[in-house]
Amino acid sequence: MNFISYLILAVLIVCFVLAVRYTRKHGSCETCGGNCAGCGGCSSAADCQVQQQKPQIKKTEMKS
Amino acid sequence: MGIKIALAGNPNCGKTTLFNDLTGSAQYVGNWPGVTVEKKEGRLKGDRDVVIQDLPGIYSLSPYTLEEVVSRNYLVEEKPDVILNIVDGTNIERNLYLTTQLLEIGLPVVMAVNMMDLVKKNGDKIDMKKLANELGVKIVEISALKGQGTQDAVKACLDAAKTGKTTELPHVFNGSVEHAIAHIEESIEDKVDPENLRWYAIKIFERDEKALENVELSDELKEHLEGHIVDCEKEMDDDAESIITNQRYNYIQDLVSGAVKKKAKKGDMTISDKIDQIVTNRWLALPIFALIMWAVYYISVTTIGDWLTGWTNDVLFGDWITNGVTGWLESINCADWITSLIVDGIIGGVGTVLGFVPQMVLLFLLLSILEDSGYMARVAFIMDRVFRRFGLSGKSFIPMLIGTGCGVPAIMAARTIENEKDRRMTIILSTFLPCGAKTEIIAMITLCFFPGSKFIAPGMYFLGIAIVILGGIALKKARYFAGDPAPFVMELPAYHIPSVKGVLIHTWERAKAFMIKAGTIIFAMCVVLWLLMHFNFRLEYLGEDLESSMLRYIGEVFAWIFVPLGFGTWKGAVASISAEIAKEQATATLGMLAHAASDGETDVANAIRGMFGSGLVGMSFLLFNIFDAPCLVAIATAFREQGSRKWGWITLAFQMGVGYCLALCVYQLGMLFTQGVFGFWTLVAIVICIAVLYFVFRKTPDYGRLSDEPQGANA
Repeated sequence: MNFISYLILAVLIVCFVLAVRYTRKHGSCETCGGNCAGCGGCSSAADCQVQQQKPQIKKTEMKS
Repeated sequence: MGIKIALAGNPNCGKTTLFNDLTGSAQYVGNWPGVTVEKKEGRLKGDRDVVIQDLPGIYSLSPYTLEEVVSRNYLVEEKPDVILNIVDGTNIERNLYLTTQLLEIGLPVVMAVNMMDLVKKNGDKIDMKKLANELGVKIVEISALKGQGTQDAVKACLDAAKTGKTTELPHVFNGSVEHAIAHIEESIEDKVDPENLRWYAIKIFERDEKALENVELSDELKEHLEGHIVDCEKEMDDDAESIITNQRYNYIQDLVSGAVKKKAKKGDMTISDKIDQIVTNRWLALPIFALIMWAVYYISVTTIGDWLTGWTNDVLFGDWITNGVTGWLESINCADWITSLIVDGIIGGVGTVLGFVPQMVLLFLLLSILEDSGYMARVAFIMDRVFRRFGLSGKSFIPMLIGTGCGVPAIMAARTIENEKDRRMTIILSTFLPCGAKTEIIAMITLCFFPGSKFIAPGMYFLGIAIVILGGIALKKARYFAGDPAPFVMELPAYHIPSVKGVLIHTWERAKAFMIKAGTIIFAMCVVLWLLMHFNFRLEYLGEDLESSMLRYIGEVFAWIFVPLGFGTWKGAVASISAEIAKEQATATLGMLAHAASDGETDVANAIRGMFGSGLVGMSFLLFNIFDAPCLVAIATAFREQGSRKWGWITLAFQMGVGYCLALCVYQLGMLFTQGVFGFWTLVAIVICIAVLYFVFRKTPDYGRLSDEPQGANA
């Protein structure tokens, strides 16, 4: 392998690491196109995690 | 210190449009109620200290569905500095019901009357001064879609937040009701925040359990207050909640009759009504819907989309980029394996996914036009008639409409369904309509095996609907899901010509997400798959000899699963399993395998045809990958939204079962009818068909008297 091959390989490795890091951080955001609740605003990384919505409605509170 | 402005209003009144205008965000805006199911935060353009919260649309502060709980909890417990109440000016009477409740929370409120352009166009007049005086709030006229008046609304909010003055409450209640509420206020004034006093008093009068949990009342006091409530109920001859509702509407009716003048007389038909007479007609609605959706898929996948994709696949990626990059890498004497990684792996994989972008863009554009015009909201109404016959409600179709973009928000949108059984069933069924990524697999298989077919792409959409209906019928006959569907009431937005900006933004956002995904997760997957495809377990580079690769051995471990479906080769197994990471990966994997298999003369489509052998196998591969479980993220979302592992696994098993059985039946019966092949799996396919017919057409078992009352998730 010549120098340029190592250079291209290094670029590919960096791209791969960045792609994996981006997917880990924003995976769900990009999957839904920023439409899902977890993507709301997406002003910080924390917003990208969909918060568990605990169902809080009890039978007695519901109306048909 | 930052200022928090909460956008609150009825569903589909334009909150997210205003949110996008104020924050510069591009949140999904749908022209039907229930698009926003979770609060979203953004910062005001030009003043990052101002935080704007977009809340799910609600009709009242009595929470019946999950997204209503989100809005109410935020307003009452987290207490924003000011509430910007968005009111649909074309339907002010209904919108004011929530306004009267927001005023009672005790926070500064500014009212923004939206869609003023439409109000003026209709020739209606709203006396804002009178409304403002009666309600005791500052009112601003806006058109969120055109960005008119939105800055005035923000300025009014900032002023209100800075002064912190709460509004003087309008006299909504009278007589013994006001007396009882005042008495409750006196009794609980040391138990709640002073600004929330009125709100809690009314909620206690309504016997709102959620509000009662937040107020510590002794049993003695509870009994005492209950006495007052019961006295009032006896006097008014109604239950407490209805009394409050009626008095609110009486107050609003008086207010509106004095402040709003409608040009159209009652009973006059609007243009939307006239269009609806045809589009939602009992007999014409379904054929019109079928024709429109057929046209959408035919145009985007088969005709214009196909021409565009043909150019990007054959010329751009197939010729210019591939040959250009190969030539450049060879000219600099780059190592063979790195050249192969870039050309066969990255360009072959990511390039194949990007090659279908024109078709996706066209599909998203056409769907956006339909959504924005107001037609798709009618589809939910039309489908309610169909679904109701089978025990489902039209409300279940709204998540499925969203699912044509992506399954994740579709699953989340099921939160708007208050009945737990229907919500669970909707989550199970909502991803059967092909999402954007699945449409790419449809486009690829159509291109390879059925070029120019008018029916494959639209057929997959309608097959998705058929699976939803048949799956719904079968599930409704199971003990857990049995029962009548919940009533479906939906406000239909007026038809309007879609805004070019809105449609383009919507299309761009979806296409951008598609491309980012290709450049990240698909890129990473392609690199990993290429390494597995071109190296053996001794980590020796194999060149074009894929048959000794690690991927081949890994694929063969799973290949037997797909033998009954006709593509039980390691290549078919790898393509199908990798599609579970992201559905586009199926096309990327096939693209990589085809690139590696092509000898420079064979094009990618021919190589894929060679991989599967026949159109029947291609169709089986397509059906499995379209109708099996969605991608990993959607599966994880389904687990989370189902709220239990058990229901998560049931969802996954049902979806996998449907995809597998459908592909198996089509392949085995196809082989029987076309080549007369009859074997063990043909018998299995026939048994599956009989079982499906049984579960669909069997009489609903008598499970005894089932409660029709919707149940909460914890019930």
